Amino acid sequence: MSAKKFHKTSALHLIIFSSVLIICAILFFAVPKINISQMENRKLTPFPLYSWQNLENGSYLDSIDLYVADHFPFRDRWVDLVDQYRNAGGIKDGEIAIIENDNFSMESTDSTKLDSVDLNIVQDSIKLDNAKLGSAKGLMIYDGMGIQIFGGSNNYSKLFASVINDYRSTFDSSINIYYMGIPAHGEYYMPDDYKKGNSESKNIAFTATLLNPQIKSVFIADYIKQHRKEYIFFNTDHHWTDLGSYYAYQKFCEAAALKATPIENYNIEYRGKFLGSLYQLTRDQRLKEKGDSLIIHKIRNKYTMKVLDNPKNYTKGSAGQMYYKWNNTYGCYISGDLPFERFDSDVKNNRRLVVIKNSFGNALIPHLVQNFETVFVIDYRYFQGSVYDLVINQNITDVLFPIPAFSSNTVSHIQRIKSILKIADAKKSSQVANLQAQKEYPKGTIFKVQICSSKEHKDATYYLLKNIPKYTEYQHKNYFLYLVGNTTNYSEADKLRLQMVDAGYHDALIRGFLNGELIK
Amino acid sequence: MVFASLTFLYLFLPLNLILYYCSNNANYRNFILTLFSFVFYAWGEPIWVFLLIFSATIDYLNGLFIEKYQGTIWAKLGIISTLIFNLGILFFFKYSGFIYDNVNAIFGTTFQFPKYSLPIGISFYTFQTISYVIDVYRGEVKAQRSWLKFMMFVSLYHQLVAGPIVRYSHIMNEIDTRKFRIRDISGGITRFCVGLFKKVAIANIAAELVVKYLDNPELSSLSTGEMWFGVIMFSIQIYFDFSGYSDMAIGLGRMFGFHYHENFNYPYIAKSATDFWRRWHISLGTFFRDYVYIPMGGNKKNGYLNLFVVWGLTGLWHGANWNFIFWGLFFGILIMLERLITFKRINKVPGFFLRIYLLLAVVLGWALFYFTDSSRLLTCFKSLFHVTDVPWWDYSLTLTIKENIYWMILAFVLCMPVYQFLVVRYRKVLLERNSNSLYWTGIAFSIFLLVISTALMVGKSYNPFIYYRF
Repeated sequence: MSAKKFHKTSALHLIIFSSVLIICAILFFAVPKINISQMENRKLTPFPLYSWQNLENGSYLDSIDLYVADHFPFRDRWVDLVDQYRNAGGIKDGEIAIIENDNFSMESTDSTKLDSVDLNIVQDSIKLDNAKLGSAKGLMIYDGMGIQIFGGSNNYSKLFASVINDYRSTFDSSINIYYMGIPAHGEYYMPDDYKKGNSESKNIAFTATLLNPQIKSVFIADYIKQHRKEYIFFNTDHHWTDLGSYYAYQKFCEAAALKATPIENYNIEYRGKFLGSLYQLTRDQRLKEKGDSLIIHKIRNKYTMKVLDNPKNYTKGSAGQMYYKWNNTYGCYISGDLPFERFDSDVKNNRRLVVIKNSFGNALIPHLVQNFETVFVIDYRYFQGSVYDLVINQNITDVLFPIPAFSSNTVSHIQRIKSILKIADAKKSSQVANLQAQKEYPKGTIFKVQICSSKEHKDATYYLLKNIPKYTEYQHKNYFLYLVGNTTNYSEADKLRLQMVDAGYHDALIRGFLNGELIK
Repeated sequence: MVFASLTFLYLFLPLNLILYYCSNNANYRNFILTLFSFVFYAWGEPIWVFLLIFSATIDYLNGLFIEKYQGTIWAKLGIISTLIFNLGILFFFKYSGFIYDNVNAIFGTTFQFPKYSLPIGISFYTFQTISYVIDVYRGEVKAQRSWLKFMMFVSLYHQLVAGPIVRYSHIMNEIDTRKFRIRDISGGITRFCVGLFKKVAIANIAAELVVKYLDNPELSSLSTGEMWFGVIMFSIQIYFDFSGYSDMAIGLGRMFGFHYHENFNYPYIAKSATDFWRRWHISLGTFFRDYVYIPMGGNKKNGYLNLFVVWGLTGLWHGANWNFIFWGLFFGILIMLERLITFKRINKVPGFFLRIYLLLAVVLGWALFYFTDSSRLLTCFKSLFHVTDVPWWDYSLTLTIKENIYWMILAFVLCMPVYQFLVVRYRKVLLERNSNSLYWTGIAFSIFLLVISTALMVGKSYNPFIYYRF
């Protein structure tokens, strides 16, 4: 090759390389920005607000880096390319894989772990099995289906049962209380060779033995198992389908002396294909190939649905959609995870139900609306009101807890379910309650809101922290707590906690510090 | 800022290249490069950038002062003040917490030390300026008269935060006059893309596996196989991370007309610990050789004492913790043993066995390096040598290996000089055949690496460098 040609081709190299960089830079500024990534089901990092403090602690410029990464042109295509690279990196076994990852904490396990047990939940001391702190231990991919591996233990059942028993002893025995433990995919689809340790149905059955006999346990596992060949669980999403929830509904009707609507009496709507949460977490090719379809069984009853904005006002709210039309995933049912909703149907039987649920309950609600005059739906992760107040003032006849075993084995969830009963709060305004709470702490206590905790030290790039411009760390025994806010006013801290819950930190809780030390 | 970030690659770098090359004026170019370096540094350290400027200014003045009073007691005082100043700030920021902790542990005291965050790259730039001032003192280089040029030397963002430790003498001519050679830029681009790929497509993926195994809260439940796998993955991660960074630094240097020395030379094919350290982080090894070991008397006077001092310090340089010191001393012991046995005898052993020995030593060394917590370190070693009640193997490890097998083969192959071999062949054929398609292959190769790396960066904003905080 002549020197001249070498020179020419080198120049060409430079031109091509810099063109790639410059074109991407121009596109970055030119392409309109979106705020929400559908693919990841999360809010994309917004452009940070400038403040001297943010600049000084480095979070301002870090957030710009996150902003650029989140809004890079053709981001979805690039992410697909990553999948191809990762898939080319090895042999994906067609049948089975086990994935263990921090991100599998989903909505169940995560932040509040052992140390939060001593907060206010345990009446009698219960020894927790250290090795099994989280209930979701990972994910198995089997035959194109994502199966969460259950790691709960009987110690959690004791905690959980004590909370449900509290509900029982609070209300008059004329009010029916039902516990419906929901086993997920693993119960029906986990290959026998891999079934180790505790199973979800065993855990649920054990929980039921600890409950007050006046609580009606609805056992659904065996019945659903008879239908395991039907499309009762999504392949790529951690929820059941509404057909799966229909069979649970049938069992519930038996327990509640109601007549379940036959499956033929539903209108079927086919909404098309989607890829669910487990795919978004793993981006596993096998899940992508198998995919999922959303098939909705619509009820024929007349009903009204209200999204209640004020947890103390049980009538005023905006209209909602039972099958949200803009969402073609599991999130369409009762418009997703809203804190508080009310359904009124054309049924006249003097029965009024409260359902205390998380997202697993969403698909179940439409079925239940067919058998009650009124159904109040509480997502215990977000609800800010008092269940006590609701049940007493709205002449509630039935209270149902449809709780996945993954959640009833997670301390933060048990804590939330306990906290929304709020007998005391119902009698006082929340402000008074906050004042009361403040009194329980010594003078000079600084309140902060814990957004997450971890056994290992995490830096600002951790997925739970990267959108938090300013947080502080505190080491408590073997745990690192990550906190926001700094106030001597409990009400203010509670306000911040609610904000953090809204932002997706479902397990946010208030911590008190005196002279920089955590108060237990 | 880090190289493996989209902000750097698609905003900072193109802007820097355009502004740099839009004028021929040497002062303008130096100014642009210095300005961008400050921005680059301030991106990660908005406050400590002033410490960098301040400390570099002190060294700049000291260089001039020492040169003026060369051969007098003043020059000696100048060099002492430089050492006190540079090692002082390094000590203050990096080691004071460690000293306090140890004093408290030994004497049962409870001294509280106000903890400062460690300014990024401080270990690199203090060593760089120390070497400059010593070289001026020794009369090996002339002191730089221009403050701007000296600032540029210290702050050059290519090597500022993670090395290599560039000596003033290596680039002093290029600081004054840099030649624009298009083939340098082309070569620099390829080198940069290779480095980026090593960091993003190999080191980062290895890092995920390292976290999965070695950061497991239930470390003691890992099988022996999993522990070995975790430690081997860390060996992959640290090599590709650091050498990838050095490649990017060298490539960026070439894009702007600088030629930095190589920092890695396939360390994992070494046949002895001595050989390993001639191939691993070369700029650090030669620094300690030239400014500590030889001035102390080398192997002529107190040879072994000097050896241990140097290796203790090498370990300590990597971090303020005992495990780093032990890691350094571990290599000191190996090198001492190798000297005692003598290379004449060692070389009689077939190369294959020597490489196995070295790899074992290095991998175990990385385990020592990884765990700053001594109880976890002990758990790791117990499991590695299977002296505790853990299974040999876990089925999930088979799956993990299978799912990453091609990637692992790629990583292992790239630890050997295969790429170098192919590049030499490629150049030879290119010169002989004068073929267009071959040249296009070269261009396409670097763009391919860029695209893959970009995808991985977009797909994952988690990108910290291991060597960033040193």
